[in-house]
Amino acid sequence: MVFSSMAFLLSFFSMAIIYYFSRITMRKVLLVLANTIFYLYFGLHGFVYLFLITLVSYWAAKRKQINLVYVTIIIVLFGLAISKYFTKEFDIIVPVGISFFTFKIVGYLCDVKNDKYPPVDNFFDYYNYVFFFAQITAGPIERCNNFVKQINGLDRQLSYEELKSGFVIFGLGMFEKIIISAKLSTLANNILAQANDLYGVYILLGIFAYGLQIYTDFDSYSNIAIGLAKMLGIDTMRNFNVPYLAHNLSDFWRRWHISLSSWLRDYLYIPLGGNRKGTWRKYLNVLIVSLASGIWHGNTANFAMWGFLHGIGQIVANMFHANISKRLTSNKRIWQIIGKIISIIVTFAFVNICWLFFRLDFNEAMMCISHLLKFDGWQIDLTLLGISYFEWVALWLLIGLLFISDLFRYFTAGIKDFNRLPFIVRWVVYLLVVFLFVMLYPYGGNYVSDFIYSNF
Amino acid sequence: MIKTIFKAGFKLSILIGFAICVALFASKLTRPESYPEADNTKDKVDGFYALEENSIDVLGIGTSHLYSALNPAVLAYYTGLSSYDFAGQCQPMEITYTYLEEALKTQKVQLVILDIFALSEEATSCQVAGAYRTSIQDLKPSKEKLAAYKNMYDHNLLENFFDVALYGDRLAKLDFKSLNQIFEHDADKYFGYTPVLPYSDIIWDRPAFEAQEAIMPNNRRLAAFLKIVKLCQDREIPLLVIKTPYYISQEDANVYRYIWDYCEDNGINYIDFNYLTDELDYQYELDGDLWHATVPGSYKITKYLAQFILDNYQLTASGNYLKEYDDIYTETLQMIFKTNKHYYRLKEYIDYFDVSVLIADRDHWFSEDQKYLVYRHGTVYPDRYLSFEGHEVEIKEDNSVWYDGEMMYAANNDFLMIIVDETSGMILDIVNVENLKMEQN
Repeated sequence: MVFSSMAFLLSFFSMAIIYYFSRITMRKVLLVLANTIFYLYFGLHGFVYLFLITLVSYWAAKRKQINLVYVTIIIVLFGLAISKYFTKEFDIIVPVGISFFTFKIVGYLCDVKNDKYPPVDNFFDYYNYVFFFAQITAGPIERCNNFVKQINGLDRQLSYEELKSGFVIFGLGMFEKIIISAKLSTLANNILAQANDLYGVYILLGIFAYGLQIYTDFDSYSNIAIGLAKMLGIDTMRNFNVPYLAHNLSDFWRRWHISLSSWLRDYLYIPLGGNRKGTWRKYLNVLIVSLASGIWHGNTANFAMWGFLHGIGQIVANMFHANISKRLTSNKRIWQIIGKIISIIVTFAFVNICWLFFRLDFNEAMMCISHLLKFDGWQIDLTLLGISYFEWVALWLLIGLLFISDLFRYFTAGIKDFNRLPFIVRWVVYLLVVFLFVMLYPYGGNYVSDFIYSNF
Repeated sequence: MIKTIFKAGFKLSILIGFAICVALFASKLTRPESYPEADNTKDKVDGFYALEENSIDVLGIGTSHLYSALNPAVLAYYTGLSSYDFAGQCQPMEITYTYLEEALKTQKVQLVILDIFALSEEATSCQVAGAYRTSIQDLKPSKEKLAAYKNMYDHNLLENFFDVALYGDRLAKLDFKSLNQIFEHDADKYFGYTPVLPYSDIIWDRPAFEAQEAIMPNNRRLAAFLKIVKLCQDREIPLLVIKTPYYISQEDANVYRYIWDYCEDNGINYIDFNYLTDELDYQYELDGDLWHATVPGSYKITKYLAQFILDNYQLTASGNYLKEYDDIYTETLQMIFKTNKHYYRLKEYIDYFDVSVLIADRDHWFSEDQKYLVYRHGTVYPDRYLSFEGHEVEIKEDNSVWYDGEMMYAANNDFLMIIVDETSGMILDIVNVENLKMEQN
């Protein structure tokens, strides 16, 4: 069941109406029911597995015996490894969202082991944390204490601002997924499917389109999840913070899939020593974490390559910053701005070229890069792209809106500052989004489409 | 909490309302190519709105039976009256009433001609999903249109109200011209008429039928018919009820009998062409197929109607659109001649219509009143028709035909027939006689 499906939307809003008029106990019960039904939709096997490891991890945390916690962590990670890398050998059906809920559980166990906070007392609070429908399929990888604290504070009336903010974020997420990401997906698929025969500007366009597609796809999912949770009075951590305006790779990873990168930082990078054990050890740790991130996404060489490239890129960027950039620093504001713009563009280019290894196998990705270098002008024949002039114009309009939206989020506090804008400005945005949604909707197509990251 | 939900619900409903308006706009944008057939209802409705106010003397309403049978150009040719076929494909009678209401807002017509096919059971076979919607959707927003929607029986909400759900992929192909189409109304070239060409050249007899008894039509359809009658009475507009000829079933004949009796009892003129096929020499399938009159058939029907109107009504011809009707009339004759290659049918048409044959290969089957110019083997007898109604027709030694200095036909063939409309002097057809079918089927 995907969030953009009519079945989910009707179910959610029906449940929400009852939720709004309920007290805390009933709300928790509704959440348990909703989370259970949502996950059962994906199959009984997955549900049984998740329920068992939820039970085991809850019990292990409550016992708070270090060895027990370690064993549980190993079991859970083992389950993830089997699902990701030995699916065919064991002929198993991979539980949906395993990468995400595994990290949630491991993170919880580590936090409890390190006495960051006491174990969750109520099993159903923990159950709701692991199974929370808004986060289970593709994150964010929420921290347990943050979530549980919030649901224990649900004995209150939800404010209009919460509902409004939640709905706006949810609505914008839906627009981003169904319209922007879908249009980018069409272009990216059309180009990359015939990458063998295309060169130069076409490959550049394909890389650009895929990079934006994966961003909008994932960002939209996160927005939908955040919006849904907010409408239920639960604040979910932000997962994207305009990553394509990052000025280096480290900055990029502080903005992209924040819940994963912060998890890897807290539970892998820092335990390995972080940057406390010298420069070369730091670089090694960065490489290990990047590779871990790569193989977390997939079990093939191209994902490992992707992670490796990001690791190397971060190391190189770090070296550059440490040794060269300081000499290029200027006191003049204009040069600082130009420098920042250049670094944003370079980071953007690097990240998007790396996405090729995400999308294609290794050989195909290398072929694309070689084709990219055979540049022979900026002329584009739309028939080769398989889209009409109207779709071409619409695409650039949407990319423009995305850029404006990202700039807004870059310079402000997001929805909070948006809600402070004048009434007329907000309503122009709402009406524009509705107008574009109706005009650009993929009628006749399959709008109940999967999110890319739910495959991980 | 209730206040919060109410406030949220109110704002959400504004957004939903706006979304509906945009969807309706997008539906209108994507609709034009939805129905590319010749009997495109959108073109007919648009064409009606493009008329000048109070410029039409006679209004035709009903279904495709009406707009294939009533040729406004032929009506204008014989009566000078301007007319428009404001009808729709498979249009239910309730919607025909809406069309009449709509038409009377902008036109002070002197006569309404209503074809009653929509009263029959046969008509319901084509009133499938979408039939109501296609008749209503292009009307201007009004309370009558809203009332018509209430009468709809195909209630697939999404597709019936939002064409964009079906044709949304057309949005990608739109250009500025399509945008303009929403705001402009293009005149319909044939004034709502749809020329139907014969499907084949087979001639066959329709099975005989007889109206054995008068059977009341379906209540709902009859009620709509009575509303049309009442509206005409209230506005003091004469109503002429007709039934065009088609392959009528016994059941339908009984229904029309009922209407015939009703019209007689209420002083309404009624013409059932199904009983006049012999008088008109109306032959299936040349003059009409199972349901619709073809171009030659509609000529005969309209000519009969024209005479009937002249004999029974004192209408004042407004003289509007005469040039347009003239052009369509010539085109009508061209269509009639070009679609008929039967030797004997050609003779029949040449006798029936006001045309001349400039050149003939066999003079023995044409009249002897010197109407035809005979050309054989380089000799022309006589030569006084070479200049015809201001047009110059020249046949050169290589058998090429030149009309007003331009070559029309370059065949090297001894046997050619050139058919010219006497009124306009336009060449209607140039026939290679060898291609004519010589035998009657």
